[in-house]
Amino acid sequence: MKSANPAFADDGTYERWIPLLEVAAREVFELMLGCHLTVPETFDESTPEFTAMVGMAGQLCGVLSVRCHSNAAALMTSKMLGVDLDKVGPEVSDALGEICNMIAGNFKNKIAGLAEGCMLSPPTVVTGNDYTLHSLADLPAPEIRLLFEGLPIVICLEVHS
Amino acid sequence: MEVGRSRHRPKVCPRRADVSIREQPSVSKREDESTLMPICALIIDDSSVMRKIVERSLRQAGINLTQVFEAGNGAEALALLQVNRVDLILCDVNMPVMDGLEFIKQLPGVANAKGVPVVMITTEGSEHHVVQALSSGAKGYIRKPFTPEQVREHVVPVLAGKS
Repeated sequence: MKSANPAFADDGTYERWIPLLEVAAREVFELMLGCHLTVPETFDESTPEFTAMVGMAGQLCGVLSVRCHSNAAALMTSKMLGVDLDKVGPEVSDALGEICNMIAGNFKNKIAGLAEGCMLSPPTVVTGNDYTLHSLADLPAPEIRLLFEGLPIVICLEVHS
Repeated sequence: MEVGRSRHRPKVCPRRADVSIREQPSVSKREDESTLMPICALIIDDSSVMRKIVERSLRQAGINLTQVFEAGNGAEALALLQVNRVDLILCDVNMPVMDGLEFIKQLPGVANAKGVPVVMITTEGSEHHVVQALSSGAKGYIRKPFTPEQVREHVVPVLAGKS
């Protein structure tokens, strides 16, 4: 496919962003939650109950999503706020949305030109797993699968060229 | 939207300028005093979780917070500052109703806020945003994600009057 956007020229640029996305996610978890994400040997394939999404518009158009189960979302909230896990309440969605927002912001700040040329939407969080997400992305949407404290999280960048 | 825990109890915090200093301290000593001196802070972010994280980071950075006000956008913050005085403002950029840059532009019109330093905390890391914020009057700029150490690096000099 020939893209009108030079950022998507067929030179592997898009593929080279994937490691940057993983680095961006790792930095957010290390700096804000004090946790190291690890690479899983096996991965829980069940559908997560929490999906946070941030839209990207400008030189890069697409959706960045972070998906995880409710226990992982609650643990993230607990670590972000420094409160006991059993004290975590409805702020889980807000916390997961902020994590997604920071990953998206950190990611675009790592790519020359995107910091200024790409805007982020406020985060949206969907709870439940009986839904289908459809975006206008027309490039392969790579998924980064990592473990947060042993719990699976999936980070996905769907890009429209 | 939660707006300022003490919204209905207006309180005047002692201004930093009111504190007499008997001898001229060194820069490092002044910075140390900035972390020990009790201050009131206003945290502006549309995410209540992020407001709590910023407050926690300030405390972890050694900033002695006596009171923390919260606002969900620039307009709520301006209203809060009409009846409350603070020593430090930490402000997000992208917010509904009134964003952080517009808030800074309107801040000089609030008598209570004259001379109060503003530090931006945001995911927007472009040079354009930094320049725009600083030229509008912000004294510092912290990019998310951040550590308490980074918060300290940016906030303590501002409190010490270096920026």
